[in-house]
Amino acid sequence: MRKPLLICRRELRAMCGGPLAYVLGAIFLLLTGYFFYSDLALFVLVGGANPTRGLWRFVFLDYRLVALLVVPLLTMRLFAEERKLGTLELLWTYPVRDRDVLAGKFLAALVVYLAMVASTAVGPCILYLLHPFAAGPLLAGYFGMALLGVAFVACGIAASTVTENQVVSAMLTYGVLVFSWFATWNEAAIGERIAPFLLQLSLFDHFYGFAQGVIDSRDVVYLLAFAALFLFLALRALGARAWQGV
Amino acid sequence: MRRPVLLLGVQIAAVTAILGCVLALAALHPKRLDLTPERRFTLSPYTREILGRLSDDVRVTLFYSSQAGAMRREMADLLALYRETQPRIQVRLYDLDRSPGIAKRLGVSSYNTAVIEAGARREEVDLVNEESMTAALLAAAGTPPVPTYFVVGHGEHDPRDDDERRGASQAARALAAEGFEVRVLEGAAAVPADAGLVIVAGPTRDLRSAEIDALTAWVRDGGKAVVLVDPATPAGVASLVGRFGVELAGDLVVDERARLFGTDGLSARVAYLNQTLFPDAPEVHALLPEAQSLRVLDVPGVTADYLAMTADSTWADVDRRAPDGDPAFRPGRDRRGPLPVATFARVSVPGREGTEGRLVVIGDSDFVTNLHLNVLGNRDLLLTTAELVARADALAAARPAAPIGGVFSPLTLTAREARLVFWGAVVAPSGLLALAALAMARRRRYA
Repeated sequence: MRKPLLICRRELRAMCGGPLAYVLGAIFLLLTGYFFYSDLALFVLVGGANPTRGLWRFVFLDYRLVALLVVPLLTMRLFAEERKLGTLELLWTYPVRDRDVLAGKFLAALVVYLAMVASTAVGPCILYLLHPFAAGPLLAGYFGMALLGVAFVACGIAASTVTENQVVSAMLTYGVLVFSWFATWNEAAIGERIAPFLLQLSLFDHFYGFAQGVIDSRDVVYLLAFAALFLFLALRALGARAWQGV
Repeated sequence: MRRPVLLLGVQIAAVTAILGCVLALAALHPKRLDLTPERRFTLSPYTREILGRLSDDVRVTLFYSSQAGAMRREMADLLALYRETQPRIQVRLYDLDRSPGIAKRLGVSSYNTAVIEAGARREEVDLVNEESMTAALLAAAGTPPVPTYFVVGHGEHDPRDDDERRGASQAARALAAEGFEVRVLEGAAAVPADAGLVIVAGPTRDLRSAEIDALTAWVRDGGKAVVLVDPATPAGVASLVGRFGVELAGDLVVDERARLFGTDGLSARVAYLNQTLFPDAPEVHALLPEAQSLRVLDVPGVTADYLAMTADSTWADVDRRAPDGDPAFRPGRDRRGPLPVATFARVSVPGREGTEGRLVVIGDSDFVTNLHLNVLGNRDLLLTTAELVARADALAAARPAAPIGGVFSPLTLTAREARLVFWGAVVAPSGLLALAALAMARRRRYA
């Protein structure tokens, strides 16, 4: 367990040593802050009587989109950059296993993502101080955002292991994540037989309950299974160098 | 090269299959943690009780719009809860535009409509929420509806009246949702033969003696009635309930300790329901805005018992001074709680074994008005009482929470507060990080 933590610390230092994490964080907070403010304004004006349905649901569905935008940019460099600079081979000369490296980098990206998500709580906290509200739906929403982050980061890190081009890595992640959203975007466009199956696989349909203040074990298991699959694929992609002669 | 690729394919297939099994297991044993304050995604004990009583297979067909995915999901989630609770319920979802044949057969022409079929009975639900779904299930697969007559003409609360302070239209709707067919009876001189329940909700003018005699005869013949009586009840109404062993104390219950914020403490809270009559009764903390206490007397052929009591901290102002000021309890004159505020009388019918008349008397009528019905447990008290009187097997479990009414946001922000949110949530956090990014870039440039 110590090696992944050491790699995580090294990765965090590398991220925080450059402007990328700060720029991404600033954009993330600007967008989520703007969505929170505009959703709140809409709720105050025409949102109806139920904060869970009229405010938090829209806030978290908007936060979800911002996470979709930012996480691939956060994960794109994790392996692709090291592969391009040749530092990955250097890392492999140390007595660490692939899974240690993968776990360390995954943890580092997740920590940065969670820090960004936690920072968005400033808006709800200010609102709570002004007008106290039931915190349950908010906690469910943030729990969903954390799980969604686990899934996104796992997908992004898997994409980063298969290429040395950061743009390709980001686009691969966007491709998978956006497809998992658009697959059920318009149910009229997909067959009635396929629709229930696709709905079961839709990443964003499994987030919907969290945004409404409900934690469903099926959604939790799905998001963790999604992450587990991509982490496994990432591990296999890293292991491929053994039989590719890299 | 070929073998590793094959091995990789097998590994991926195996992991995918394992994860698929995990997902299937999770789907078979779902658990939900509903963190919404109104527990929107948990079926109420009342609905679960009704579902538990279903003995026939029920088919629910929902017609949705594929363009309104969010609404479809909400309705599908709700129906899934019904199916999980009662496997006899079969749920089918159809896109209305793609299934015009089935829609036509079921007579549906609008989106977001559910049809409930149980044998030959069929009910249509236009607004798919727990309250309407459960009501429709009760109508389609539950016990037959009870014709319920509200007596009017003597200043009673009228089930047709939408007035906020006096009207009882919301009470009528709540009863209708539980299988009571609400109708109005102008005067009680002749009780209709099909009446399953008669409600006299707070008359302010006296009933004629013929009406009192007709109601008395009807209850003695096995009829079911609920009489709601405010502290200054007309004498004829007092004599009507007196014939069934209920004496109106004519006092005013004061409940200072349980007073709601902003009220004067004259509202009496129901602290206990009679556990003998309601073995599994929930805590029905009904709030009776201006109640009098009742006493049970011995009357031949009538078995009367207390139905609801107030807390120990209440007391009865026997001279009804309370509205005029802030009166204190007078030892030796006023009476200390707990005070009975509702009674239940069973009247044996000579020569008809197994048939009995039933009468509930509650010492307040304002709790059924549109203003008070959704306060605390008032709605539950009315519905539970109606069930107890009209049906042998009362449904006493807690009802689903009343939908939060109104379209106006409960939140009002001043311009200053909105500015605080904007600067605090939008500008400050992102601005700080942007400054950090600039500082980092500068440090790198000069490093």
